[in-house]
Amino acid sequence: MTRGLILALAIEGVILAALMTVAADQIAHSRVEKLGGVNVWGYRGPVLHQKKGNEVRIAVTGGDLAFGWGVAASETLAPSVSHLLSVRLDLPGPNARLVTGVTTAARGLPPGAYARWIEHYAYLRPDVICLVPDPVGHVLADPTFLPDRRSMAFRMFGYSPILPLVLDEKGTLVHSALLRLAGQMLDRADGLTSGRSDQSRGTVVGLADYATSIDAAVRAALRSTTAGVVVVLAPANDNGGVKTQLASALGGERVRLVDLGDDPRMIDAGLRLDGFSFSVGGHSVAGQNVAPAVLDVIDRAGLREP
Amino acid sequence: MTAGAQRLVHFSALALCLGAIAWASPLTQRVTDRDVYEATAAHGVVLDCSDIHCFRVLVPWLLGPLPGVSILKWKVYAVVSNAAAGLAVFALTLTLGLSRRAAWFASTGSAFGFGSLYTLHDVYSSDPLMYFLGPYLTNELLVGRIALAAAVGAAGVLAKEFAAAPFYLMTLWSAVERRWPDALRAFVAGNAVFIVWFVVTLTLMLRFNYTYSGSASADLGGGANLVGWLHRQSARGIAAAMFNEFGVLYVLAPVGFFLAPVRLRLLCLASLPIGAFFGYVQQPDRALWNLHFLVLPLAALVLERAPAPASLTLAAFVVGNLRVGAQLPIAPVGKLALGASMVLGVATVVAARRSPTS
Repeated sequence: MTRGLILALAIEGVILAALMTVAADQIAHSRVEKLGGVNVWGYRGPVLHQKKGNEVRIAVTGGDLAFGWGVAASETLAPSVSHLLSVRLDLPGPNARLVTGVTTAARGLPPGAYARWIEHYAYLRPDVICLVPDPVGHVLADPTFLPDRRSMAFRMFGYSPILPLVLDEKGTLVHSALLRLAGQMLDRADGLTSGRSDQSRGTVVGLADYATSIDAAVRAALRSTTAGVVVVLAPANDNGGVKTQLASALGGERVRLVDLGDDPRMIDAGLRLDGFSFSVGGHSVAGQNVAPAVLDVIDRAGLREP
Repeated sequence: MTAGAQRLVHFSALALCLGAIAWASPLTQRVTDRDVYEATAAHGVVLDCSDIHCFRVLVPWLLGPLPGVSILKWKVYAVVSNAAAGLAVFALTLTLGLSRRAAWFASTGSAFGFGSLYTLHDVYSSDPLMYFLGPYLTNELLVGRIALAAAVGAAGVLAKEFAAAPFYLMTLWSAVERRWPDALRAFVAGNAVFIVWFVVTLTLMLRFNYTYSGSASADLGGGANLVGWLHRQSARGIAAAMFNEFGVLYVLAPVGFFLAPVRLRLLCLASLPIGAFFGYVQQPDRALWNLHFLVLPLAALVLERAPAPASLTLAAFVVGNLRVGAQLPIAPVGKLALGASMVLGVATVVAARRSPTS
């Protein structure tokens, strides 16, 4: 009898430990999702509420540039665009539109994975997707954790653990080997269950493959949205060749192209944090370039009024 | 009359009286949790809900499909639960080794106490079910029906977190008495109930985006509900609320503690950390009534020793609670009854001390 009870207690201990880890992971998410991290479902900012009838939802997706490393979730391109659109659409009266922006980009996501990534987040029901591909030649960031695409939890349920990263970083910050060890153990445990191997960082290369990837992403985005897609090209390189290659993908009525390189302000190194990622000001200026194209797509789809 | 028939008569009598009080109790004139419970009853889950009451799904899920007007269904639920609570306290008091007379006093005090009658006024709450489950589960655990208690607790915890408390109460109590196998049994059962609550809570959070962000109760490091409640109330308001909760039981129960058998005393002491926890996370004027099933047997030990003043004390206690609990429009009578119950309570204590059985 007592042996059975002790066995039951041991099983309960394991279950409770697992549940408490999930709870702790959620608490960790709630601490970092508004800052530099992601929420439990792997996108930036708090988890979105159910879409309302009068809501226009803008999603910004892509890789490192779209993710907005170094700035808070509320300072990225998506909220910048949604704020500018709110001024035009969220007017007094019965036709007011609630505009929300969400960043569904991922760190280290290669262009070839954009289409699948867009399909993954189609359940958010965006009206417009702004696709911000990383430029050719960009060395992709470490793909771990933001979100944790290697995790079994992410692959099975879309849940992106962040507790290992938070513990590891907190341990480094407070010089606690124990915290770091806990973070690494959790990461390894997740790695064991997923059977994952370390992913190496890649580079965005090959214009032909790049164009094919963007084309596939645009098609996926068109399937996921009610209004359309805005492709936003990074300002740093000569986009002429890219535009030529993308001509077929950008031809539809529901697709718009914004070349940030057309705005001289975007060349300013002061709008970059690490020579690549935009600062808050960079996202804001980019938003000013993107918002008119998004509004055009919304108007064309007749979404200006509920 | 068989024991079953006696219980049926007892339950019916309590339900009739409580039903009459519920019928007479006015509708609440302030914001309550009605919207949340009705939304849960109507939709099953309330997407993106940030109210703690959204997590308490059992009662709205059970009442939602039933036909009838919402307020009527919830009043009937409150009446039935509180009548059942009276019965459960009766059984528990007997199990604790007290006399039938004491059980009658405790049962009546439970059914017509502040907490019970308040839930007849503000019926949109999981509290009535908890007032029943507290004594019921404790009794089941005391008589060794652990599996049944765990099954009922696992369902009850979907109504409110307190349903897990009796298991940990029994764990603590058994541990204090060094009955380790009993402590282990209660602990394993309590953990099973807790796991059910945990899984459901995480499921609601992950699947339907429920959060505790709108609830101070979850802010354990920031004072929970207690600090906010203390800030919102004046000193007089706090004193009045705390007094109303137990009234004359504040006089009777401490005396009863010294008259109680050692096991009951230890059980009460084991409940202190649980009471402190729930008083912290909830507002204490309502949270502590969850442990009425331990306070009332203590009070009953005094009342049974002086039956004549005891009956008057209990009657005054009930009439006072009709005002402060059920909110019946009898303010002068209610005040008088509360005052009288205190005076009579002191007289009962004096009489009980002089009683040859004490």
